[in-house]
Amino acid sequence: MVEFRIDRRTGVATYVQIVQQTKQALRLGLLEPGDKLPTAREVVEATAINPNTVLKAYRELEREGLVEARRGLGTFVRRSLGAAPADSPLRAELSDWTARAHAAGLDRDDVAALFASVLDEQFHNGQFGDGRFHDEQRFNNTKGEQA
Amino acid sequence: MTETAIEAAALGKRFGRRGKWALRDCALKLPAGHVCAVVGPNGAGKSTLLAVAAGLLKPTEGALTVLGTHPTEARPRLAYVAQDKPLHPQLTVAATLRLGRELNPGHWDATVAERVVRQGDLDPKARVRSLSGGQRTRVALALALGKRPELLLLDEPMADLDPLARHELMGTLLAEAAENGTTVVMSSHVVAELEGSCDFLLLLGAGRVRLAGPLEDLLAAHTLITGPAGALTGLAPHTVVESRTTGRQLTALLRPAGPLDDVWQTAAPSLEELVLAHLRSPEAPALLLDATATKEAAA
Amino acid sequence: MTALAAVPTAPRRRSRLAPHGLTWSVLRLHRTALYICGGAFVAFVATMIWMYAIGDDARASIGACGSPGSGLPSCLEITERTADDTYRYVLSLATTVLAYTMFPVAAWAGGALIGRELESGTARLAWTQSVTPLRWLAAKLAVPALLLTAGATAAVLLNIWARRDDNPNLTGDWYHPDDFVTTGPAAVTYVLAGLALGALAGLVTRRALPAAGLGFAATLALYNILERYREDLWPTVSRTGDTPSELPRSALQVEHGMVLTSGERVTASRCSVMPDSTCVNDADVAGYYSTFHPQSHFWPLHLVSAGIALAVAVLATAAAFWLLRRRTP
Repeated sequence: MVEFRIDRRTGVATYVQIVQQTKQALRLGLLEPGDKLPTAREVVEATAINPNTVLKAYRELEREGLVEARRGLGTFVRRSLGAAPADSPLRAELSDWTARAHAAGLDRDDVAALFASVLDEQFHNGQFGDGRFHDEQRFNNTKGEQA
Repeated sequence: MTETAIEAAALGKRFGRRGKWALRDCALKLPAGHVCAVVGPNGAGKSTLLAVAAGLLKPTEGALTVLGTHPTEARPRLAYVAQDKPLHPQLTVAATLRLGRELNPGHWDATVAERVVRQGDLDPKARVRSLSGGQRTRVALALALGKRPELLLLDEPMADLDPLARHELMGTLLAEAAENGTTVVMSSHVVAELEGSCDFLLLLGAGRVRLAGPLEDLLAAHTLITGPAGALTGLAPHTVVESRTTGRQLTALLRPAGPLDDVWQTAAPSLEELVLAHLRSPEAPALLLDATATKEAAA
Repeated sequence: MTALAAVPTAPRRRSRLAPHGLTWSVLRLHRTALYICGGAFVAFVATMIWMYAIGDDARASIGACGSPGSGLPSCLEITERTADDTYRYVLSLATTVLAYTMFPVAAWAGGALIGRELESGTARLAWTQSVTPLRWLAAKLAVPALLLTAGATAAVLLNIWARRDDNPNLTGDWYHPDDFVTTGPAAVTYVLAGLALGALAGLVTRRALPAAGLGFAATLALYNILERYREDLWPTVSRTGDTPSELPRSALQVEHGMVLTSGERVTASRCSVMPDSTCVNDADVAGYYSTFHPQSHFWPLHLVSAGIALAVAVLATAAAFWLLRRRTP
């Protein structure tokens, strides 16, 4: 099961953070079809965020067809975002590229800025329109024991 | 459930015949189903507004309705936790909950109250006078939530609590409120503790309403801009809440009335920036937005 | 404050007699006071039983005596008996305690019952449960009022029982302040006046310590005013004669002096203070008079005192409700 980490300083809307973190967990294979998302109550208790925010994020994920709400049972993953699992070739390529950038003398911020600018160029109409990239966004993912 | 949690028109309250007005000309409408933050500096009238809504104070002028009725009529349907969390020090935690049951015949949910207490690892036999600040707040919240109120009024609930207790209690509070469909109205002068938890904002300054509306709509209605100081005159059609000039650079918070010139760099303000700008400029016009946004369905 | 404010809607599983609602809350919140009062009451009952038990002995100790052979107890033996001293002393102490109960009751009602709750905000805690402020005050007054009425009534009856024949040599004269108050319903209404004045003081000051002080002071004033003007509460009986008359011990003398030939009455104190200059000439004195309350006036005097205290209790209660109503929406 995923655990959401809400960063209030980023300026990214809270529900966007939940959506992004869920997607990231799906991409990395930490969430798989059939897995259960934490209930709104659990998320609210752990993060002290507004319950409506959690519901809004879950509805967004549902709208994108990533999860489905089963009445009385909870919200479950329908499909994964299997484009780049943690051990995919694309990840390896990016890893290689990052190593070369580091060897070329770029530091972490330079790499992040470069990466962000390429992202902006390639994905011009960003999903949530705020166009900001935050390297601060980290993910706290733990495999659910029940899985 | 009633659609409007609190509605006030021309509400005013002053203490004593010659006293200062704690609230003046307040008009507001808080829709039900939200977690509403009542924000403002000390002395802005937050506590007074909550006490009037709780049916503890008589307004000097104007009127206020709670859940569609007079506050005293709504007494069984609302809960209130005062800033200093008054509890009887000689009672045990269990006896305090029993008090809630005895004084709320017919609408007391012992399960909720006990769950809130249990989550805090509280010994039911412990006397209230031996509890820490965070534990006392938890017991006060248990007493309020056990009533299963439609409206929960909290006056500075998290003041003087350590960050851990604050986070835990806020989580418990929001989860229980969401489960019961309770509208929460909480006051605070610490804006940071409300960000993320609240979706409706009521900003009070010097006894008047400065901002009211769904938080997202209020933030969306404002833009932070930076640009050359000379371009200030070009801002005429927009409402400038606050502007500051540093050298040749101008920073301003405004409510755009249309597209902005390209000379300006724009950014979305944070809740704190929004609140501070309004408090620093008392002459800026108030902005009251209706909760027109699609009503969030309760879980 | 004639009825308990709580409505009997207890769940079936609980005993119908068990207190609940506001009644429960008042009893639970003031449990310490309840225990102290209960203890004091038990001690009072025990004392009265003891007094009753030694009553015969005490009476024998002050009875007639004679030399051996006269058929009466020997005087030597009687002087050695001390039952009368114990009886007299303990009974007067217990009577004083009963008469003064109104003072601690007033201080408690002002301080713990009302003032502290307003000061600490716990009153507001109650008012934001499903309880209106007026019902809250009603329960706060009715529960102790009922218990105090029951307790004080029982104490008065026990006191009368232990005093047996009211021999003034042992129990004190009927007009002695404490004995006067504690041998009838005044003892009950005094306590109720203390409760109401204390509660009013609590609502006025809204703080525990000042309320306790104010309640105590108001009750002290009431007690002293009633004692000071007690003899004026019922018309006196007047007696005139040619010589200064000696009133019996059972009479409460109010005034005495001389009747002049003109019919004017001059109190004796005038002549005793200024015997030379202003005192009347012997020639002018036609006779002597005295005004007094005979023992038969005990009940009218007592009932008027009790009625005044009850009226004070009612007025203070009404003022307390009025004040609370004015302050809360």
